[in-house]
Amino acid sequence: MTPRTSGTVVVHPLVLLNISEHTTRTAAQSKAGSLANAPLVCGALLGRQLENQAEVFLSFELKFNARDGAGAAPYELDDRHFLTRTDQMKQIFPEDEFIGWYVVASSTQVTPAIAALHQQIMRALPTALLLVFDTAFETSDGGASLPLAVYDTLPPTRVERAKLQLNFGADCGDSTAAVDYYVESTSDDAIPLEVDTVWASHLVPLRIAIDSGEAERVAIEHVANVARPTTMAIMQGEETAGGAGSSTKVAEGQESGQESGQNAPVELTSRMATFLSSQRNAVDMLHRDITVLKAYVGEVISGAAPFDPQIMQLVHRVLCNRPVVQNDETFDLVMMQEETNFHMTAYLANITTTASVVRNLAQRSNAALSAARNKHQPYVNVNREGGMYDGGGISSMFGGGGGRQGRHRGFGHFR
Amino acid sequence: MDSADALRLFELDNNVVPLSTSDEKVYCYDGRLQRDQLDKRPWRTDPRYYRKVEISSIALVKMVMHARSGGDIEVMGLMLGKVVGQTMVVLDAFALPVEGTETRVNAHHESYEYMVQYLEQCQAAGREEPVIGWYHSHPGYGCWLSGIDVETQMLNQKFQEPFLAVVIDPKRTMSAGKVDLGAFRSFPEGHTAAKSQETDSDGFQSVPLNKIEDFGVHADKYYPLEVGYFKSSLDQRLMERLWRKHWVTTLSQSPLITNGEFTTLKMLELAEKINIFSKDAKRNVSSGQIIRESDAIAEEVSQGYASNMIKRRLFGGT
Repeated sequence: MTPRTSGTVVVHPLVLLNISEHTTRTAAQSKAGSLANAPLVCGALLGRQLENQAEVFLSFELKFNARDGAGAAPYELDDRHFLTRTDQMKQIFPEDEFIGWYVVASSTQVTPAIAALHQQIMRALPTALLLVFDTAFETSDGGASLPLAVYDTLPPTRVERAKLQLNFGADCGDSTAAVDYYVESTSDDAIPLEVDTVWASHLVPLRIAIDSGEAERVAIEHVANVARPTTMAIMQGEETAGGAGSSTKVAEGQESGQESGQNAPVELTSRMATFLSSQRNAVDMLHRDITVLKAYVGEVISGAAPFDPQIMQLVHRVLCNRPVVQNDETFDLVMMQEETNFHMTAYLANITTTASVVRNLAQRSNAALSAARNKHQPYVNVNREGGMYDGGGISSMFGGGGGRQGRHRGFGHFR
Repeated sequence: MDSADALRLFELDNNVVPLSTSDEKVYCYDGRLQRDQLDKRPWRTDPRYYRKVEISSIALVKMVMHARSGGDIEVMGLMLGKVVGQTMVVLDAFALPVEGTETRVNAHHESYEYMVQYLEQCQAAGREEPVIGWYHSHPGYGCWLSGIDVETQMLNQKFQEPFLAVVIDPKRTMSAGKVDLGAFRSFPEGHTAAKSQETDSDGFQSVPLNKIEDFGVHADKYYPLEVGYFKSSLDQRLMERLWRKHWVTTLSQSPLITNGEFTTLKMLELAEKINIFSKDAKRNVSSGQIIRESDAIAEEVSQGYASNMIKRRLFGGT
């Protein structure tokens, strides 16, 4: 990130997912040829703006109409669409204001085309944020940060016209840092200036932070860990569609509900496996970060990397924190308690399962035996306690086995 | 730079946006294909025709967040999507400005107006999928359909097929750290299938005792659908990037601490259920249900224990 940042913008994952979905959908539609004109993927950002920090919570799609004739701005914002949707969002999320817009491009640079659109947005909101989402996922730090840049619009100042052109020319190069973007202000009441100067707003990059609400975090984690890529998910749907196309199959499925349960793709990994693998990934991440630190310190020692006291102090602080706990009796005690709790819970769950299995077994053998023997006299007297198939454990587990007896009476009635 | 060049910048390069062939199929709406499928009205002959629901990442996040924002109040919204064979695909969701009270959620007139307008705007912005169902929240009492929900659903299925009902429990989602969501479709009126064992086998829901009557009475009027979740390849890449910021929380939080209280509550509830079961087996509590619940609790606790052990090995320093 460039050092000349003026503030921070907090972006919520929901917004990113929304943009991603919008992009994917538009790309899919344009590939299928169902779109008339070139897709323009942009939308509005909703959130809150505090002094030096903006927080983006939501987004929705914006509609730009293609303008006839290739002028400087080939697209025009559909104002009515924009206003209606802003109003609708306001009804449900009254605290969030329109604070900017996003555009999807193949880099995080501001291009003249984006600037032209930004001009239109500035008419609605002079301080609009501009989020550029890079579908190429190219970031300077080797894929660690998110593929986006957010720019803040400063109040317009006098700028030489030449500067406007120059800086857009510069972004053809790879220098991500320290490029100045200016967008010409289009307000009507601007005081006329000399020929080679214009009123223009400076676009400054903001520091990006990711934050999520608690519900958002759970949902996002679910998406990251549970949701499958479309390849598997929907193809299976198609297979089912093919399989159940004929009416006979439908009828079959209708008869036996259990069958469908077996045919349905069983989750191959248990929840425990999912949990453990996510833990493993986290540890992996920790390991990777430590490796980076280690490599850096090693390079500093060998003189290959410059010595940065700030970084070194951070590294030192991390090291000081380890080991976190050492020979703490209270800690050990609490750990022991938790371990005991875990064993107890597992034990209890096992007993419950066992009790139920035994109960089922008793029921079934009772039924089987009494059916096999002469039908006039049940082999096991259900009313006598402590009978052959009356497990003492079960009755204690389920409070005297009343339910079991109730069922047995049911069987008697059936005969 | 001339305007032709500028224009080209927006023509999304398909090589840049990584789309798998399945992405294209899922995210592209083909109205004709949909009509072809719907014209057959397969739900007329088979009330259980739709067996599976696939929910997109964005729809899931939107629904969960909306449900959570309601707090103790039930909220509702609509889902947009399509059908693929016997699968219903939910692609997006949006909130409706309606707040329901406990187990009573109904769309009113003003929200209907809102809905129509919203759909118009969506279509204008290139989202062509029609409404495929509704969702609402059950804060704290699990995912199932109450009597009124069943009525609403039946009505909608009568006039707006294919229609799906999704219920989210934001409270359980938060306390368990896992999305608690159920998808249902009702049977047509007068449909009687052998269902007592059905609810036994796939209706895994721990319903609080004070709601169990309502649950039991209507449980045979609808059936649950298998729920799957999907994400696009772009989502996937985004998630990988986000994960770089999220792993710390995964490692630092422990289910034993975050869910401790909830686990105790669930245990108490389970004990109460076992009591009821042993007294009267016919009161909507089945042994299978008890076992599943006890297993779920044990699994959660063992997850917490496992994470403790991992951290001890990592940071214990012995």
